[in-house]
Amino acid sequence: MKMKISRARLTPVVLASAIIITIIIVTAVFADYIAPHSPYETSLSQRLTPPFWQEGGSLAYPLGTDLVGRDILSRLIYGARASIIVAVATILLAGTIGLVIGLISGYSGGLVDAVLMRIADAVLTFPLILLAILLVIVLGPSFINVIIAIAFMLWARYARVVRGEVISLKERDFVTLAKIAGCSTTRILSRHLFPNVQNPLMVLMTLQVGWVIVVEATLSFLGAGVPPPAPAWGSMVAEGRNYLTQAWWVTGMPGLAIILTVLSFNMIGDWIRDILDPRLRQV
Amino acid sequence: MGEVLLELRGVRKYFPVTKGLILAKVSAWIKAVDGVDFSVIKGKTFGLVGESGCGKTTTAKLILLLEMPTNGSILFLGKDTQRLSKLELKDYRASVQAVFQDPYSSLSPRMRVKDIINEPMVANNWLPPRDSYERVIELLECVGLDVSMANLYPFELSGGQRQRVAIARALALNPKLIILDEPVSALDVSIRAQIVNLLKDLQEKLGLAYMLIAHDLALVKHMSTQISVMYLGKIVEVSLSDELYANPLHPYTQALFSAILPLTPDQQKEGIVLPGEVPSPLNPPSGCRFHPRCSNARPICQELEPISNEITPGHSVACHLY
Amino acid sequence: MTKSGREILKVSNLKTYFFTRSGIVKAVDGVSFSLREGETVGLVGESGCGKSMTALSILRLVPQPAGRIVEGKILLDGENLLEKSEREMRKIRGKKISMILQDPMSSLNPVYTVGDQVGETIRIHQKLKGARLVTKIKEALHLVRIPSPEVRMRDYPHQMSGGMRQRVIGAIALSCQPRVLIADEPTTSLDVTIQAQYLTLLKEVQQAMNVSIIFITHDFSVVARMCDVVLVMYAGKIVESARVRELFNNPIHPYTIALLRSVPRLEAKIEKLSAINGQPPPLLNPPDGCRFVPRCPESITSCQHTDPPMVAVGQNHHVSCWRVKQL
Repeated sequence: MKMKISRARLTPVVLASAIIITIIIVTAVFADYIAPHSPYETSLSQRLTPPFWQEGGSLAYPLGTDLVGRDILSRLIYGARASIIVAVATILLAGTIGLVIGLISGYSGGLVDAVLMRIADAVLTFPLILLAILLVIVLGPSFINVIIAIAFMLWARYARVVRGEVISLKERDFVTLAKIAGCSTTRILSRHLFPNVQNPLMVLMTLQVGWVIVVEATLSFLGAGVPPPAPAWGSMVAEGRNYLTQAWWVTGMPGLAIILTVLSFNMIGDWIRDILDPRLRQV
Repeated sequence: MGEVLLELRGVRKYFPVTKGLILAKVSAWIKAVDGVDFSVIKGKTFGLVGESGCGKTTTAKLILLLEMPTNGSILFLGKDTQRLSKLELKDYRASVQAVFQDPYSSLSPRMRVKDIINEPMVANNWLPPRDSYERVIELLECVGLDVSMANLYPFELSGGQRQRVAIARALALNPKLIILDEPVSALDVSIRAQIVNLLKDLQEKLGLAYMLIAHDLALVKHMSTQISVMYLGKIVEVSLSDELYANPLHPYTQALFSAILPLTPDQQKEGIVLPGEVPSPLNPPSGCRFHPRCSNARPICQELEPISNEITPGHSVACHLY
Repeated sequence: MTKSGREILKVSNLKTYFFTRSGIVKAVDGVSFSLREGETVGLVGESGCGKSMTALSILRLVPQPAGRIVEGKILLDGENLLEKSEREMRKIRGKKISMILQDPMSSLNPVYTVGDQVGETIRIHQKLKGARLVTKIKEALHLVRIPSPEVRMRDYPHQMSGGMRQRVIGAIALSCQPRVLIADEPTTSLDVTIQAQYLTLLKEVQQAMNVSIIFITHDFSVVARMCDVVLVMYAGKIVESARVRELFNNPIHPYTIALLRSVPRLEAKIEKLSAINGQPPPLLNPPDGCRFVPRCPESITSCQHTDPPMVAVGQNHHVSCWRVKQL
């Protein structure tokens, strides 16, 4: 029986999510070509214009403008960049750290395992957002520091998952037989254990993208994220919070963007988990 | 008698049972293997039988250097396996391989068949890649698999095919001895004969020695030259296989043979049904380990552990009856 | 000693199919047999032949939604089980028909004591409580020869050996005195000497309770010991059925013959085991014709086109093979 990606499981929701994610990634990459305006260009005469379907709006600024007249759509598009880059970079960084630590911890057992896991536990018990904020304050606000801060929160979860998988795998016959064949520990970890740990890790990582985006938005909202004037969805939400009744779109649009993106990633994450898991257990 | 490949002398393996969380103290010992001696001859099959808890799996692990003996020595071609140099260890690993019971967990799920078979050679830097793939094909043919299977993943193969891959991998480094731990018991009955015949053919062709661990006495008798019966960490009887079947001396061996159900409804008999169960290796009975369940037990059996005596050439028993 | 009592269970043309995305898996494809009072019927075959699924079909425990019983009748004391509601089936399971599975460790819940688990069936079906329940539990444990039942009932499964656990499962299955006991490979995971004990016990209990047993196994020597009637299954169908002596003395179907010949024997000294070529049959979208064709040393052209019907070749001896007609 060959491994097939079943088409039947592609529900409309999953398809829609895939489309949304593709749109977001494409706009993030090609922001320069797609955005109608510069995200930084202010125009005080055009401040707080509503979206085009409301009275007073125009197609020049399709989703309206913010309090200094910047086009919200353009800022959303550029903000997507921040969200996507932060999300991907963070997860890759945290995933790599978590993978290595999980592999070593799970395979070594004993004192090494105990020490590494206590460190992971310590990281996991910190209130996450507080930790991230502290880190950003300590390290200083910048793109890279936001990535480092969120990754620092995240690696422990991956390490635990990987460690759990390694512990259940290392007693399996094929690992014992690799030892008997003379494989070094490094080889066992890289050739035999890592490929089998990939899947649960990948699923976890995909499911976390949404969460990372929310964290980044929260950080930006609190002013501890990507520094202004670079557009970020979270800070856009913050900017509009005093104008909710008069100009709901300043907060509403980025808020919607966040919701849609996170939901889409979660749907895709669930779908990937459904595909990968049962296929590996052959009947 | 041919060349002695492997010799076990007074091998013991005790596992500590610890109490306490922080300052773990040893409160007892699990005497998994408690004084075992035997030899495996080149080109022959040595069968090791016994039921759960008898120590046969631990013995296999000791031979495969997955565990170290607490006491005693294991000699391979005269060299003590606990005192091997790095280079000698590499040779040993190449010479002693294994095939395990479960074909489903013996193969790396995410490696293709050709990489699985190639793995031992790569890990030991044996041949340059081009030559080693030729050898992989050679090995596939050796175990009766079609070359087209080289690119498949384990989940695409049946149990019997996977076991053949496991055998091919075991042959990759030209071993002298292969430990077979229940090699066919997880396979369908109709496939077992295929694999058993394959193993026997390979033995003849390549001059391999096997140590066969199995609970199917009929299978062990079919494949082995010599059989050793283990009970609670000790060897109670050793003999050539035909002799053991014709003339089992130790009461436990007799019970084992009598428990085997004959293959015809006409020969059904009430065999020797052993009372009770196998005691825990944490607290083995004093004297002869088998005495609480033995219908021939005498007072001395509880006090003194019997020593192995050669009754007829090649047939030894550890029992006070003899 | 053969008992030809009345018919307790009659299975007619049972078909259980699994509907998957890749096609239809015909796990049980037209199985018919009867079980008489006090008798043991053996279902023999290898993995995938449909023996376990037949048992699950009788108990209406076929995994859904993929699996479905598409055809057939299962008459227990004359009543068709396939026409009963789920509620009615629940009253039957454990009380009239009981089942023992192969793996004692996963059959028992690790967090409940043995006494609790034996008691659960009794509580459900006999609605007993308190001291009367405890007495019944002790009786059930005593029936399967577990020493000191008052003490052992407070044990947890992991505190017992494999053989003991298998007896506990027996106690659970027999606690409500079922008419039919289905034993699915109950001794496969047990040591040889423990297996001998267990089978002896099972025979004694069967005599005492006059329960009919459907014994599922792949081991012919167990069949020889335990069964009165044997049904050999292959790829979802019964290929041969006979009383046990007749089957061993006079096997007719090529699969039965090959299987009996491929098992190593203690008494015989053979150089090479007689192996069956090829692989176990695929159950997905099976071909027309006899399923054994790819591995049969005696197949002829008609074997490939149509499935052979079951024909009688002796008293109570039926075979499904085209070659038989030519005999």
